[in-house]
Amino acid sequence: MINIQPTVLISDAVLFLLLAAVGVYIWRARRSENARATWRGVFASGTGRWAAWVMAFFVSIGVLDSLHFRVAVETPAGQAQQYSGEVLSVLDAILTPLRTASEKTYSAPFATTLLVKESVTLADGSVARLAPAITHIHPLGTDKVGQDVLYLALKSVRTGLLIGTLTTLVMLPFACALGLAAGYFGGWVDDAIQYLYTTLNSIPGVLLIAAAVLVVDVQIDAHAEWFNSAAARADLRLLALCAILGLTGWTGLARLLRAETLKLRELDYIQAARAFGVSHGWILVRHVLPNVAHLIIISVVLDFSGLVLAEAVLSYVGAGVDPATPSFGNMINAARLELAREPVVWWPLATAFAFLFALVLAANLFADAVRAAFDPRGAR
Amino acid sequence: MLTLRDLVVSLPDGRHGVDGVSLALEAGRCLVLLGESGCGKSLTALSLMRLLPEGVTIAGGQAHLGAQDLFALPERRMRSLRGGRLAMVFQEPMSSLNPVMTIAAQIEEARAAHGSRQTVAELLDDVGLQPQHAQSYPFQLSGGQRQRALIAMMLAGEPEVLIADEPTTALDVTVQAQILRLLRDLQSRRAMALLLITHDLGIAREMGDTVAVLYAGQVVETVAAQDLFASGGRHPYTRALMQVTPSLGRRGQPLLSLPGSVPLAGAWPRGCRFAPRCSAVAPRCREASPALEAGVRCLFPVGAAPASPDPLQDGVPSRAALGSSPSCASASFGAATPREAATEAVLLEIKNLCVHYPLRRGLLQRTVDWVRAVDGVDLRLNRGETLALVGESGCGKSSLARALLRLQPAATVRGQVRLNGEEILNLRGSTLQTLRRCAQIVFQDPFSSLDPRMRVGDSLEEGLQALRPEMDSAARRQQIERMLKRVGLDVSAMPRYPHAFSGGQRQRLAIARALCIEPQLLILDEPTSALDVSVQAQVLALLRELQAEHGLAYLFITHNLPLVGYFADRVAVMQGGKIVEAGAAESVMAAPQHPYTQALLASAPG
Repeated sequence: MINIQPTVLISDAVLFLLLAAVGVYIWRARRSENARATWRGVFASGTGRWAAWVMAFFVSIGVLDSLHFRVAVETPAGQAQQYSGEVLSVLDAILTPLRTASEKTYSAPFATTLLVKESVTLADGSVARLAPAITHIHPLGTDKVGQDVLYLALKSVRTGLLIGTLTTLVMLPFACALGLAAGYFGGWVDDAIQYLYTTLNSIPGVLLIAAAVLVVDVQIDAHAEWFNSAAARADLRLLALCAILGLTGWTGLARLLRAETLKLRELDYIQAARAFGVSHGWILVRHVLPNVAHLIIISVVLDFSGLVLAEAVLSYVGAGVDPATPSFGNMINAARLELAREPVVWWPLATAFAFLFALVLAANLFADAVRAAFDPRGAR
Repeated sequence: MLTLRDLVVSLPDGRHGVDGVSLALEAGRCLVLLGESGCGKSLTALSLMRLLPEGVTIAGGQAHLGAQDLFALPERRMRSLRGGRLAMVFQEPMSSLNPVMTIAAQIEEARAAHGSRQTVAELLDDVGLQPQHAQSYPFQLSGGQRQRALIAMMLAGEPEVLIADEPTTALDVTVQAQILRLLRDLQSRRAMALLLITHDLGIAREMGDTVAVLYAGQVVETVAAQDLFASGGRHPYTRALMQVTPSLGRRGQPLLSLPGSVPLAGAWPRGCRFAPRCSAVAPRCREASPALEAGVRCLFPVGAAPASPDPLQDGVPSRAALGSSPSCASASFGAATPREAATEAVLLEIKNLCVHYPLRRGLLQRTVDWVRAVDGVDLRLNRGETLALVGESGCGKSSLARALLRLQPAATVRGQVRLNGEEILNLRGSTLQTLRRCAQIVFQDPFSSLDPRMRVGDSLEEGLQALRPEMDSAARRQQIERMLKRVGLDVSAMPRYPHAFSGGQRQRLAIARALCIEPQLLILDEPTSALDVSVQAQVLALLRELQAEHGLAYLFITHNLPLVGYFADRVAVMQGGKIVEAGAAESVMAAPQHPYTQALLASAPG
């Protein structure tokens, strides 16, 4: 039996809390006839079902990649059991053949030799330049340090999902609360919130984020004792990035919601609710929020792809996720040099592109199916 | 001049929105296309212009303008015809004009396209606009002026046929009267043929030479306007339309109650399409589709020739005039109770009520002036009484209603309002909730008054939860079911969303929602003006019944004067934030004293 120690990174905890919340929602929705019917509507459409399957595939990869552990290392008898500094996930364990099958450097998909020729001393003592044979077949090739690209892409899924969902999680409360409040209450509340987001917007976004990330970096570097592994350190950096993206990214959605709420608050049904003496908070939650939900869903899903790409931009200026963390952003960022090589190394970029495309398209189609099913004007 | 034969318009899903409509327009004459919403009026007009929306197609029929076959013309030639020989005026002048172009530039554009002989100044003069309006932008003009500008654009092409699709629906009565006069003027001066589309019998009576009544995509009756209003029409639907329209003359009588509403486009019943709502229906009506014979599409048309002067003139239908048509399937209501004798207890007393909005300017948002929406209004409303508040748009009647319900920001409202003897303008917290239990409101637009994302049951429950905390959920449900039944809907409505209901049903829902909490005062803000006349009659009957049952007091806000004459006990006429005339509805309607009231009454069509 392999002796392992489960390790919970902060982002794992957040992810599982999120999953638990979704679980609670599903449990409650199953007991309500209306909610069941609505969700059946989501899966009734062909696209909705397919998108859900693809999303489920990505999410399960992300979840498997969030079950972390450390393997026990040989410890002299009598001492406390020591564990390896390397944090692995269940996904790593499943993908062990891919993970360990590394080459020296680039190789094309299904190639039998490396991309680069080397001087090899042959058996007869002569020196020839040829591309050495590789040790394993890699369906999507290998990258600069010889890591399997398929493995990298699968590992990047978790990073992408985390950045997309956690950033949204940080951003949504700000965008909703401030946007709705500005539109609904008007007056000085509106003024104050508008000043706030105009100020935020007037600072160039990338610079603001980069500056914030650098501040966090300094803190992380100054407190090396906080982390017991490199993974924990990379993880905190990822979380910090999500928080910073979220704190600076709520303005667009807030402005959209403010405009829509301005329109809604004059509508008769809001007035009717006020005439019934329903409190402002309840009106916002029961009448305004559901009627702007379609905007939230659409812009969140569109932002999702934007955020994954923003991560690539930030990696470029050196303020993205930790370079050791597999991410689509890092893969795309590396492609800058790879595309300039001769012969061109196209497969890491193509892989990142294909995975991102599938993820973002599935998220869009699924969100569209959800929106349609929750729209009362739909056929039902 | 323009003839249309057997027009069939097919909708994107293959059903027919217009099903065999034939019309003939003559130079210098006005043909009125009369019908309720969803009958295919606008589709007919748009077909003539070949401007049908995407997916809606002309599936059959011919249209000839002179010798020109309109449906066979290539699009390029049709384009020069549009706005040229054939022009159209739409309902909403604001959206028909380009907001960033001056009036002169837009008229010039039309002139350039059609090589008009008239100058912009002459065209403006023709429609009664001042020369200085030429350089105005649409937002600088009033609704009536915009409609005039639009008509001037249409005249630039020197049209032979002018199609006007509800040209005055968005306008106040006094402006409506001016625009109608202008259209009639232009028609006779230029010998144009006018196709006027309307749902308003009064406009049909005033403008039409011939009236074609449309129902469910078919012309059910074509008749000379004077015959129509002399005899009341021969098709049961035409007759019903005349009898569901409220007026001072019908005061104290039940309106004919026409059950149901116009069927949806394409979902038409077999046989005669009016059969399900017709009270003279015979078994054969459900089998055979009647053809249009001698101007009427009915197996059992009423009367023979329209000849004798008819008591319908004064709005009182008599058995003789009804002929073989059935007696009114009247809804019973408490009209017989002498309401003058009702308790004279004052429910609502308003003294010197003002609603002034500050006009803020500049960087520091200083108040530079005040908009006096309501400016010193005194009103009194007794229990169980209906007080009509009449006025044109912008006169402050809605601000008044909002102030009474404390929906207006407190800083803008001054004066005294006593409900049940208690001053309500400075109520707060739980005492304010008490006010809300006593006074409720029903809005004009049934489509925006219910939350589209909330199930009907939840919408109805909301008020109960907030204002009747003593009720538990079972009691609330019971109350909602009772009210739904009372307004003629059933429990199956509760889990559905508002969009599944027609306009009339939604208005019933809105009424049920307000009544759930059993208020004493119901403010009705134009509750029927978005509804078809036949549905309006149902809602009015319902309101009457509820008033008799619960002793409700109504503050009935409207711009529809015949409706006031029919429905209200007392009336207050409002202009520019002030009450200019108040009194018993009958006497004010019969003998108005104030010039403004007189002008309003004179403008009401019909």
